[in-house]
Amino acid sequence: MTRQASGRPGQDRAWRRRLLSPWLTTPCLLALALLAWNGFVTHWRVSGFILPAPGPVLAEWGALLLSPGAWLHTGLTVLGTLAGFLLAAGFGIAAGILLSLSPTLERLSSPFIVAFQVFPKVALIPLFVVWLGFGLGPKVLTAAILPFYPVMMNTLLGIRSVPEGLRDIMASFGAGRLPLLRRLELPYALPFVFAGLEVGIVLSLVGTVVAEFVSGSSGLGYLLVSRINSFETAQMFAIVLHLCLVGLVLHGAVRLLRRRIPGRS
Amino acid sequence: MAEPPDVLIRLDGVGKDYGGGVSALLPTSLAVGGGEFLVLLGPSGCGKTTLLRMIAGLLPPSSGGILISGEPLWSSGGRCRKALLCRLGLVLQDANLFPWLTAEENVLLPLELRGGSERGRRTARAQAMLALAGAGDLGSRLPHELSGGQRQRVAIARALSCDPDILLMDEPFAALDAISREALDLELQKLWLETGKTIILVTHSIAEAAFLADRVVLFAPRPGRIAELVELRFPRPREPELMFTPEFQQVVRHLHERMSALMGQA
Repeated sequence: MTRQASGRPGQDRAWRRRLLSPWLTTPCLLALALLAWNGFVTHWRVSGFILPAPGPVLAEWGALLLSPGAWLHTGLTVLGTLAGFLLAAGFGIAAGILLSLSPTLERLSSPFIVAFQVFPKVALIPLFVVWLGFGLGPKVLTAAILPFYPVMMNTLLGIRSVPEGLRDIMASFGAGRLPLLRRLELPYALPFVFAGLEVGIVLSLVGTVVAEFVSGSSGLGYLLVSRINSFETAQMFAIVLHLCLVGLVLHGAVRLLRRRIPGRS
Repeated sequence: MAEPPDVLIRLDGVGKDYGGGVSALLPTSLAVGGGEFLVLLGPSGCGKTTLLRMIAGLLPPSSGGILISGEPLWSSGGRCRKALLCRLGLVLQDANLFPWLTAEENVLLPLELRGGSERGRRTARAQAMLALAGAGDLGSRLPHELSGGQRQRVAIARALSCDPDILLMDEPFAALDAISREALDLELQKLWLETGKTIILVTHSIAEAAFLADRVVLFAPRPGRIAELVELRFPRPREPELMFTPEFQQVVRHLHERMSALMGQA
């Protein structure tokens, strides 16, 4: 008797937690949203050019997933994104380290860094096309420039966050500048760097797709614009869904890497 | 008071001034003997931690010099002589273990940075130091899996890893509960008796100072300066029962009265 009485509230809570698990709620909410979307479109008799019903969109996405041509475009978009992201990661981390070494350099460069950050960098894409042509070049450059700032700033912030006590301990070992960076500052900053990279991979994808809007003869951004130009709205929506999938996979890959940072509670 | 027979550390008019009128520490002279257990005691803002940081090579003095076995620790340009740092081990109030390294890797770190010996010898050394500090079975744990007292044991093992002859400790047990603190005070005394290190320990606990020290250096605040040197001749090893004897109580009362008077002046 008493065991039951004391067991019940705990069991209730466990049940609720199981019911509210995202593995269960997300598909339900998604289905609800699709139903609402479908209801809206049929009830107001919205034209398929303006907003197609979910059925045709999903059908188009299915066709897209089965089409080798679409996967070629996907591959080119992913290639541009990853190449730009790797460049941004390399240069961003290096720049963050450089700024952390010299407060003077940071003071001198900070107006330019801020100006560069507030300026809408996608406005430069036409110029990149003039410089680099219509191939991968402008995409990679755009995909590299958008995430550069968050990666750099997070690296700098991470190195700045090293507690004074740990610096004192390293100083008491007589550690020089390079061991200080390699054994203390970089490992300490790693979670900060990864937070920057997680934001960065998404920005890289944004950069690639926008560059494809402007310059492309290939890639999902180009495909999307070409569909909307021929009034294939359902196909355009299918590409948007497909981009969402690509973004999830890329972001998930970076998160997976982050989980492998050792020794953090 | 007479100078110790074999002087290991000599403070020669060491002072620290941050500007703005009040000195953190007025020029101070003191000789610390080899193998001595010296405790720096005083209220906050009396310059005891400042002095320890200058001896640890972390903070350049504004005036005077620090000699270790006759060699100056600070060059005239305010640069610390790194060759002398290997003779100093440092333990701070917070253990300051590297959170991504296991206890053993933390103790290995200074050995790796100094290089020299080969890997197997370093590992053996780290394990021996962990055992000496009473943390022999904690080597594979990460810092967040350890209690505050265990973390401080690992920090002590790390400070000892390069076999320094001087151990500098800045309120090492101040953040611990009373029971752990007493246990670690006892173990520190044991470690000191076994190894013959010279220890300079900063504390604001009168009982801890009187229990551990050969000599207590009492500091006065604003400006920071030495107010009194008290020599304690209680036999070693000292047991916790010592703290309940009238002689010990008398020392505690004296230090307490002096400290209250100094606080009142300030």
